[in-house]
Amino acid sequence: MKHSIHIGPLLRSMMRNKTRVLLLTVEIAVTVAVALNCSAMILQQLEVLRRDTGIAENELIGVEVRPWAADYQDFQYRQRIAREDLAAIRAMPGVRNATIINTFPLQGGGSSSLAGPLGSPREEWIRTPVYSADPQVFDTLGLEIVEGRGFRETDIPTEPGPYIANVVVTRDFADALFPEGNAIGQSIDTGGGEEYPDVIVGIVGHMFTPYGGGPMETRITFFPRLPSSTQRSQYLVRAEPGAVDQVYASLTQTFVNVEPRRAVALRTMDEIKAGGYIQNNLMVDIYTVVVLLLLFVTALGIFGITAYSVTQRTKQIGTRRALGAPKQAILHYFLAESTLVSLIGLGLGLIGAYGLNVLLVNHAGAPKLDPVLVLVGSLSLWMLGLLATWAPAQRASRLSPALATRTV
Amino acid sequence: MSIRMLPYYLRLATKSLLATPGLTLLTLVALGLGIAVPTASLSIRHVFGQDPFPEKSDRLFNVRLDNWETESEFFGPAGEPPKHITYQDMVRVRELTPEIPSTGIGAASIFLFPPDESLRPYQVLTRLCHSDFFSMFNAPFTYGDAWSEESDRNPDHVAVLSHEGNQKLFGGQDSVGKKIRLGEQEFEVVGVLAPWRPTPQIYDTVNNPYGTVREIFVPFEHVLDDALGLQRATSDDAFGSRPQGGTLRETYMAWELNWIQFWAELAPSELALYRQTVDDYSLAQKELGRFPRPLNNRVQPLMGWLEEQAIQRGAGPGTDALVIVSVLFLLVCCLNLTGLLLAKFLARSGILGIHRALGAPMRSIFMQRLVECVLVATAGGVLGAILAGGALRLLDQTAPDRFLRPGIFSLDSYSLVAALVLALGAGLLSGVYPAWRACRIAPAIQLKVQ
Repeated sequence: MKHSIHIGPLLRSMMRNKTRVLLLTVEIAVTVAVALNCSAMILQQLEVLRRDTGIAENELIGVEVRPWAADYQDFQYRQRIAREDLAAIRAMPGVRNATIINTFPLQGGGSSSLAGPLGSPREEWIRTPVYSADPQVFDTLGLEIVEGRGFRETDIPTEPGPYIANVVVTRDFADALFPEGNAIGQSIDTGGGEEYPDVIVGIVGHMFTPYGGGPMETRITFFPRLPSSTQRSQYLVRAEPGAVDQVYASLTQTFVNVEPRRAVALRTMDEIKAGGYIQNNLMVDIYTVVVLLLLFVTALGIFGITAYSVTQRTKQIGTRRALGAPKQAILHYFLAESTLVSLIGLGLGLIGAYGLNVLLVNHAGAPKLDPVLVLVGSLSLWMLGLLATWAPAQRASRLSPALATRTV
Repeated sequence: MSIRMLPYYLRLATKSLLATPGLTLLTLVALGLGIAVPTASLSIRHVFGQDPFPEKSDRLFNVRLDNWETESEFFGPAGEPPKHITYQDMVRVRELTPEIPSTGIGAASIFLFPPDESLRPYQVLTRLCHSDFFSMFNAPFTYGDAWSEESDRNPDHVAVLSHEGNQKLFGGQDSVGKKIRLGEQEFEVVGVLAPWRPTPQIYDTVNNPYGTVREIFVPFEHVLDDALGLQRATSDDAFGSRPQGGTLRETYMAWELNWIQFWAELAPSELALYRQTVDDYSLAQKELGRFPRPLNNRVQPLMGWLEEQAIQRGAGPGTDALVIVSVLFLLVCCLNLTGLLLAKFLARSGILGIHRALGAPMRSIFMQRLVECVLVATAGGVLGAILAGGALRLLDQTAPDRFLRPGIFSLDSYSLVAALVLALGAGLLSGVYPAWRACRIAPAIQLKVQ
């Protein structure tokens, strides 16, 4: 290259403009520190939002039914209506399957219980979110039986009260209870004691249910039951892909046809999930806006200060051009200066970022910084610096030597 | 600076700002954004983090008793007692402290048959509480009043409606003395609340932190009525099994089911004695074979309880992080502003040189520049307030009604003052150095190149 950049003059020029360099480096440093930490928080929330729940979220509709007829005091009447409801829904066009379930997954929280191998000390029991549902629950949710079997009609109790249940658990829960991998056929205690133990008959793959954090969120137990109370029943309906709207439109009528004396409320799983994750969504939105604005403001600042420095150095540039420096050399000079300033700023910024991170981790529950994020973030900021320098640097390189040196 | 010079300086400043419209616009946008972000996040924090009930927060206490067994753990942080207490403990503690205003907070569902028979019956979530609830939490009444302590004890068939409940059932008219049917029984309306939506809902942050106030309030004791059939609808923790066979009263008086949030209103002088009473009660229960764990009760001030709840809801990096980030954001904007002002002032070195040569003292050059900074800052503050207001409104529309009261995020007087103070502070802070540099310009060298 004919006009290689000499670091010496660059440094000497920067030393003569200490204020400008100081302002830029500190600005870039603070921006790096803030942007990296915000990005870490955004990524943490996105990870929660995009976490694989293991269920067919996009095809599910939740139905909440609230009866008022006195008949609902009767257990057998409730069971009969539940079966009629399920048969009617499954006969609807566009419906793949349906289940009656005690609580909607992904709504945030639910019902949970402590459990351990039968006879194990209670202090060692671990917590598991509990779902009660009919045999079609696994196909409805989109869960696959990976070991053993699913529920049979005969697993469902015909009378209210405690019963010896054949249960299905997630792989994670099976492994937590029986690390040797021999969970199938084992008896566990979920509070029923020796008299009413539960027997693991099947294992499903991964499922995640948001429940305030911790390993219990994937350690799930399913009980075979048609859960309905005198107050309400909840159903999940899985539509064929693309048929969600069609099913949604006619679902209420299906329930009213079976038993009109009840209120029916529908929500898609997306709506249920949005409720459970409202805080996460809000955080992602707010921090994204803050980071974008910050980058914009910083770019604006770099642009402004460089533009000013070009004006200030008009004569110097003119002199260089007059002495034979090509346009390219001027352009490269400014870009090199920007890179140098960015590097110092990034260096300071990384120290600041880790300092700020300690503060945020300790006081605000933020996540630790990920080295990949730090690398990508630093490169992006350097690019941003170059981009913001480009326009003023271009203008500098186009200065006509004759005009620029007129007052020398 | 003599005050006489101020109008002149202001005129000079305006002229100087208008002379370079591009740079001025850049400065305003940078400063406006720098003000808008912290103003908006301070308002958000104001909503979530501030004392929601400053009139009384130092006198309201959440009371928890650790009745749990040693063999198992309840769902909650280690070392803390369960977030709810049992019915039996609530009743006995209330009996031990008859002179202290206190209330249980529960919820139960039941079918409500509207007085207008053309409306379909629907299931309603009732708020179970004691008569002290309304005065303790300053619930505002439009019509009538709370029920009496005697109604708590009997319990009488009385109810208080929320504003929304009264709109729905009686079209908003004065419904005191009118009847509503819950399940198979008639309840008389004794009071109607004015529109009221405490945020967060301080008395029930466990089950309904940002939701609406329940439509209907009834005396707590009705939950024991076997014939009425109120169904509990709160989160709960239980150990052991439900006592079988008895009436609801016998069941609840023996059941280790934690489901009630319990509140007491205490003057500072009463606090120590109340704590002692609660602990003595626990010790007495130990004698009877309950409360096997070491003594671990809480009589916790409102704010402490709310903070703990916010952390448990997993609010994640909360509003604190947002405020820290916003302050640093403003710092970036200030650095920007310093750079831009420096550019602006020094670009006119020539003119300043002439001023100095013609006898303008350094002080007056400095003051002129500062006035310019304050002018920019004020304009930036106004722009920032407008931007923050827009952002808050947008946020308000994004958040669903079910979780957050509409209009909860808005540009209130608090945010406006914050914007203006931040703007002036930022403007002065950023302007001092450039103004100082401008007044130190040596006239000779500037004049030489004219």
